[in-house]
Amino acid sequence: MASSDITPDASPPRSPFMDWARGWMTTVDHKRLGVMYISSALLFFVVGGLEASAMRAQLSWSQLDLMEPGTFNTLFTMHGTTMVFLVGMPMLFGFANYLIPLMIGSRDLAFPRLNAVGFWIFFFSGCLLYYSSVGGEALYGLAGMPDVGWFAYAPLTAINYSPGNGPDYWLLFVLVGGIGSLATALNVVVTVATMRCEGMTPLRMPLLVWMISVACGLVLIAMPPLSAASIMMLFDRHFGSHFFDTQGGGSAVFWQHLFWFFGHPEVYILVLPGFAIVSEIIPVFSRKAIFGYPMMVAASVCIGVVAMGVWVHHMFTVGLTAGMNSFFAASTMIIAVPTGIKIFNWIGTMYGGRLHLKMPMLCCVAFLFQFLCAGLTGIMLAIAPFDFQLSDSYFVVAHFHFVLIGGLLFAIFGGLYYWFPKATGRMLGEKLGRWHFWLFLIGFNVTFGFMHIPGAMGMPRRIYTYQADRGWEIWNVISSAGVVLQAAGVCCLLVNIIRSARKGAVAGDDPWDAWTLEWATTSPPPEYNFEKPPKVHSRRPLWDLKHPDDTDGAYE
Amino acid sequence: MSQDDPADRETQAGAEEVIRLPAPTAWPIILAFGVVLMAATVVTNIVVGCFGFVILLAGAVGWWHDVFPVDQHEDVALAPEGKRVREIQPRPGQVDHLKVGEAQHRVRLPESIHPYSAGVRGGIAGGVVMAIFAVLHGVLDEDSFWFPVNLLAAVVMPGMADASLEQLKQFNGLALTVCLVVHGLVSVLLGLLYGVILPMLPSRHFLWGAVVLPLMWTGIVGATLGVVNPVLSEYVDWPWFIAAQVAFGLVTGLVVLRSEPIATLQTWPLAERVALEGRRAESEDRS
Ligand SMILES: [Cu+2]
Repeated sequence: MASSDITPDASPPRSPFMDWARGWMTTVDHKRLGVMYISSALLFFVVGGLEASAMRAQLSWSQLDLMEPGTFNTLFTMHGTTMVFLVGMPMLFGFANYLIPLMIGSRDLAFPRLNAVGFWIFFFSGCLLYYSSVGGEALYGLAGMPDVGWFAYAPLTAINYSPGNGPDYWLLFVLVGGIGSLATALNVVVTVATMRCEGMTPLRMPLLVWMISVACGLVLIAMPPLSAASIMMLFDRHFGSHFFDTQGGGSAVFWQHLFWFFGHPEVYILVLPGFAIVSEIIPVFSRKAIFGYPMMVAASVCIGVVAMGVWVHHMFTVGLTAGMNSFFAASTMIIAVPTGIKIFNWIGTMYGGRLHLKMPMLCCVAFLFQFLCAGLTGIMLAIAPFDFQLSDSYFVVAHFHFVLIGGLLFAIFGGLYYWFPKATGRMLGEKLGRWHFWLFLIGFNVTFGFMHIPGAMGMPRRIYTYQADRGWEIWNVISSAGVVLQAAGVCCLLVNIIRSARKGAVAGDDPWDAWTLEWATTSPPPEYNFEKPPKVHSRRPLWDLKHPDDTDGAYE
Repeated sequence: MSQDDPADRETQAGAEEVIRLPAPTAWPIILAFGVVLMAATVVTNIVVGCFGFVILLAGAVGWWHDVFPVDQHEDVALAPEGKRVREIQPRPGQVDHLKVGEAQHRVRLPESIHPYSAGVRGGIAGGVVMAIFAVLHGVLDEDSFWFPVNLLAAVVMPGMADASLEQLKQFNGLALTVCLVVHGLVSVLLGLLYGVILPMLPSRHFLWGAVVLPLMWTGIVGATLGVVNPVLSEYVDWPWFIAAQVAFGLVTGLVVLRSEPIATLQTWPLAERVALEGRRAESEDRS
C-alpha cells in the first residue's frame, strides 16, 4: 500500500509448479490451510499406522524378535505421539479451519496470518520430531528417536536414565507444537466470538461450531501446563534443576500431574471434534433436525468443564490418598452423564427419521456403537480398584483405541466423505468407500475387540515380547491379523481420495441436500466464500430457503 | 495486488466486482521455520539457533510490514457468471410431519406427573421422620443420641470406621456435619426418584411407595452395606432399620401423591415433543 511498484513487469516468468507451491506456502486462506492440515494429518496417519503395524507384527506370537527391543520402544513412543499430536489435533484444526468460517458465514478466521503460522509451526515441529531418526545421537547403538513413551514419565526422562537426545526431541516437539496449537485454538475461539454473520446468534450456530469451540477452549487451558512442564524437564536435563528429580528434592509424581492435567482434556480435545462431525451428519442423513439442540450445547460445555477435573484417573496406581482416588473416580463417572445425553440425542435424531445410509452416515452409525463400547470400558476403568488390576495393561490400550479409532477416527472418516465434495467439487466414490468401511470396521473390531482379552489376562502394555506359557498368543495373533484388514481399508480410502479428486462424480453446490451455510456456496467455495455475507433466521438457514412454507424459525 | 497503482485498481474495480481479502504472505512460514530452528538448538548446535533467530527476526519484521501501517490485501474478482453459486430453489409442500403411533412410536406414557418439587419436599419430610426413628433407636436401645449419627458418618469418614463402641457413642462435630449432608442428599435424591417413579407404576401407588419400594431399598442396602459401610453393617438393628425405611416411604409417598399433578408433553403429538416442530397451534396462528 505504502509504496507503488514502478517496474510491474520485471519479475521473470515462473514455472507453473513454482507458482503452485508458492500459492500453497504463502496462503492465508482458511480453506487451503484446512486442506493442508487434513492432508498432513493423513500423511502422518499413514506413518503412525506403519509404526503400529510393525509393533503388531512383533507381538503377533511369543518370543519373536523381528526388531531390537530399543526399536520397539521408539515405535510405541512415536506411534502414540504421532497419532495424538500429528494426526488427531491437526484433524481438529483442519476441520475447524475449513468449516467454521463457512458455517458462521464469514470470509476467513479472525487472524488469517496467525492461522498460517499455526499450521507451519505444527508442520515443522512434526519434521523436527521425525528428524530425530537421523539427527538423534545414537547411544548404545539405539536409535536416537524418543523412546520414553508418549507420556514421558519422570524419572525415566532424567538425563541419567535417558542419556541420548531422544527425550529432548520429544520435549521440544511438544513445546513448539504447543505454540502452534495455542495460536490456532485462540484464532478459532476469537473467530466464533466475533465473526458470525448477521442473525447467527450463539444458539443458532451449528453444533460443530459449538463443539469445536469447546475443544479449542480446552486447548487454551490444557496446553500451557504441558509447555511449562516440558520446559521444566528440559531444565532438569540440561541445566541441573531438580523439578522432577526425587533425589534432588523434586517430585516425579509432579510430572504426572502436569502431564495428565493436559493429557485428559486432550482426550476431549480429540474426541469433541468427532462429536462435532457426527452432530452435523446424523441430522442430514436422518432428514430430521437434531434432537435436543440446547441439551447438546449444554452437554458439550459440561464435558469441557468436567474434563478439566478428572486427570488423576490416570494415576490411580501411583498410591495417592483414598480421598483423591474416590474424588477422581466419581468425577470421571460423572462425565458419562453429558456423554450419555449426546448418545441419546443422536439416537433420538435417527429415531423416526428417514435414514439414508450413505457413507458419511454409515461411519456415524459405527461411531455410535463403538464409542458406546469405549465409554463402557471407560466407566469400568474409572472404578479405582478395577483400575488397580488393569492399569497399564492391554485392556487400557484396547479401551482408548476404541475411543480414538472406533470413536474419533470413524467420525473423521464420516467427515471426509461428507465434506470432500465441498472441498473438491467431486464426490468420494461410494463403492470403494464401502470396501474401505467394511474392511476397516471388521479389522478394527478384530484387532481391538480381542485385545481386551489378553489385557484382562494381565498382558502389560509396552512389553517387547512375552513368554509362551501365558496363553496370550492366540489373542495376539488375532489382533495382529486384524491389522491386515485395517491396512487394506486405509488403502481403499487413499486410492478413493486420489481417484475421486481427479475424476469423481461432479458434486454440485449441495449434494446431500443439507442445511448449514457451507452448502450455500459453490463446491469448492471461492476464495471469498460468499459473494454477500449471508443472513440467517434459524439453526438451519438452508432449510428455510428450501421450505419457505415451513421454516424453522417458528419452532425455535 | 495491493501494490497496484490506486488509479489502476479503481478502473479494475469499476469493470468487475471485487472482494477485498488478506494478501498471501510468506512471512508466517518463515517465522515458523525460525521458531523451530531455535528450538532445535538444544539437540543440534548453537549455530542452528543463531540462524533460527535471524530467520525469526526477519519473519517478525516482514510480518510487521505486512500489517503496518495498513493491512496488505488483495482484491479478488468475483467468479465468472457461470461459476457462481446457484440460487436455492424453494420446494414448498414437501415436508412430512411425524404423527403419534406412526412407525410404532410408543404412546403409552403418563399424561400427567407429580412435580419434581413435590419429590424434593417429600424427600425432606421423609428424611426428617427417618432421622427421628434413627435417633429414637439410638436413645432407647443404645443409650446414645449420637450413635446413629456416627454410624452413618462412617460411610465416608475413615476415622469413624476404626472407632471403638465408646467413641461411636460420643458427640463428634465433623461426623454430625457429614451425617447431615449425606442423609440430606440421599433423602432428597430418593424423594426425587419417588416423584418420578410413582406415577409410572401401574396402580396402587400407595402400596408401592410405602411398602414395596422401602423393602426393595432395604434389600439393596442389606446386600451392599458390608462393602459400603462396614461399621454400620456391624451395629445395624434390622427391625428398626426397616421401620425407618417404611416410615420414609410412607411420608415421602404421601407428600408426593398429595401434590397436584401437572400435564406432561405426552399429550402433544410426537413431532412436537421431539422438537422437530413447534406447537402447531402457534404456527397456525402465524399463517
Ligand atoms: Cu483420562
